[in-house]
Amino acid sequence: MPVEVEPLASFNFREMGGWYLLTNDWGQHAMLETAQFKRFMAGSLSKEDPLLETLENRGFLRHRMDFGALATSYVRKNSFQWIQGPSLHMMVVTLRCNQKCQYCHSSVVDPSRTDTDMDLETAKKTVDFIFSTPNPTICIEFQGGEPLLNWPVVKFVVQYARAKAKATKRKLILALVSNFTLMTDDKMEFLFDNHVSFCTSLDGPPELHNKNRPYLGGGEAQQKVVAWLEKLQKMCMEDEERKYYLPGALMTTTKFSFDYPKEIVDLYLKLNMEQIFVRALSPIGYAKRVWPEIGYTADQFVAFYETMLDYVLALNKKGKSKIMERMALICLTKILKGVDPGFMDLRSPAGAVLGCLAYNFNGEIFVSDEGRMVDHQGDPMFRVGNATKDQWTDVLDHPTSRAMVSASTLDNQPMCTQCAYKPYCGAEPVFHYEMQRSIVGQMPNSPWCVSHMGIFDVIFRKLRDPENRKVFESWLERDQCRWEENDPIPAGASRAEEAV
Amino acid sequence: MLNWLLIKERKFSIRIPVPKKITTPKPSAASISFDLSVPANGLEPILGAAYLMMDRAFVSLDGDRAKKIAVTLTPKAGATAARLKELSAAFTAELATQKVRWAIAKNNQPIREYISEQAVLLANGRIPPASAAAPEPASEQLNDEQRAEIEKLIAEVEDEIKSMNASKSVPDPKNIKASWEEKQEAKLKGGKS
Repeated sequence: MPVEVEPLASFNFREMGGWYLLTNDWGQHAMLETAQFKRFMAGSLSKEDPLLETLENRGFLRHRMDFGALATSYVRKNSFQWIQGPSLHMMVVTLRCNQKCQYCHSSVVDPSRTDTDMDLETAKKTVDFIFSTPNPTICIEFQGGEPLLNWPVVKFVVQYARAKAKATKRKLILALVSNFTLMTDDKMEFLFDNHVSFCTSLDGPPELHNKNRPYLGGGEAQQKVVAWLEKLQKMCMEDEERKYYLPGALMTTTKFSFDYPKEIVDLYLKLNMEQIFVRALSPIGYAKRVWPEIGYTADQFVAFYETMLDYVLALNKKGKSKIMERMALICLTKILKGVDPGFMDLRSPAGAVLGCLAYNFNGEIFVSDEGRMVDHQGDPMFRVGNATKDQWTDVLDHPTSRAMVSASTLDNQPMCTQCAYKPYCGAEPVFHYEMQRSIVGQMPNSPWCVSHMGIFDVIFRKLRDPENRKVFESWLERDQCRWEENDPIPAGASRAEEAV
Repeated sequence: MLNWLLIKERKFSIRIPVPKKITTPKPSAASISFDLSVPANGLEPILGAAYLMMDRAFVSLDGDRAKKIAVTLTPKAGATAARLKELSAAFTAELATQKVRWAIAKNNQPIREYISEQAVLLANGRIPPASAAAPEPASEQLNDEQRAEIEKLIAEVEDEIKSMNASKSVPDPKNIKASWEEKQEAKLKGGKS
């Protein structure tokens, strides 16, 4: 193919099978038929060709570039780069859990191990540390273990953080990630009254959920989750003030999920869930050890993802439901809106430290929750401080923090820097450390890369269909995601509204 | 036999040879090796193509990075003659694409740096956003000369429209084409008379 370099501005491209995808650093994209791509590359687009204007406007031709507009587009697309500190703070108030999940994503311990509960003094110092970080928006997410096993500390942190936010005039978002097995009406009322949003795990129908997530407390976990989701939904819908606190649910894909794509979506429909988030399982922590029993290849996950997305789109097109798929929504927000939806994994540099921090029950600070899981397996690689004694600047300046930023900047990755999905994607150092013993990773061999490129392939191919595009655009309009430029809220994990 | 990939850089054109076959492959039991000229192919494209082969092969590079590099590809899934040939072809294709990608990247480096710099300044409030960078002047801000020029242009356009309307031969018994102002003027004239 003849190439005339002179008229070409900086861009990456990908052959998509009969057409080409072009993207550039400024967040613009174009989908060209092969013949059009060849004309573009050869510099033989005529002045009358309507493609010329499109490519000019999107910054693909260097003889006519609007530098100011492209710089503005870049700023909007990477709004997270201009913020001075993390917005998402994950507090692990206990490692105890009353479920024994197959993938045990959070590296938990037996319910009897109260020595892994965060005490009030550590909780106070952790909140103080969180408020010493400079981001004007603070989102505290309670994680575990099962956070409701240490309810007094959850309650204390909610009240103390609200008081601190009021005193310091900061925006505070609170979110509880719970399996709901220990939820009570009193706890629910307290959480509603204090503007804490709810998020849980729902892997699918009982036979799947209970297999993935066995419950130690007697009875079936799935029925408890479903009952509380129904109750919370009802309460939110009946009360105008609570309608923004509709509970969210996350599904984790194991290889057992592959047998239930429609049943999983149908359950989310039955529960009137606004979104379903089809998430891959990461072979991190305990999940790494049991990967042969529950894991799968990245290609298998992408095929499953497409099956799920196809079903969701079909329901939308037939008018049977307006349910949205969260991963697609995150990607589409970047692709079609040109803004960052606040999803920590798909950023360059990644969200670790700059976007989020995780706090263990003993005050130890990690670059992310995945980093904490690695620590739980005996490797302190991703520990960057302790909230009881260190300053925010110590954490930011920690050699591990610097290495995380460098390793996850896509322009430093030989393959990523040339990838058409660079404007939308991210590299996860903890994942690659666990898989390849390198925080930088080797992208040609990375399941992370295969699965994310696969998902972007699926979404871009579907965008070519006008009916799919119509559905996608309607999702963007309805999106309840709390992101705003310079005000990122983590998508998916939290659905909290401004609380103070 | 060589194909030629024409790459034109800023003020001159250069012709970079893209070999159909990368010299003569020397298949052995386990791997395939060949030499690549660095001046002809560029160091970055060779390294880039080697990196991209890592999912399929173990790649060994040796030689003088300014002159000639020996590439050895050892397939991960067991070496057969067909697989070695496939690897060689895949490397050739990757190398050709890498040359294009690197040529585009190098040619645009100053522009990328400039826009990135503008983005940093913009994000830090050091320069105004694009929409406010060159605001449209409001009418109050026009000087007399500009105002006279605009009035002259408006008058010209109005005359042009009038003459176009007059030249149209479509019947208009109810005077639909006349503007509101024209109708009012006609009414006033009618009243006076």
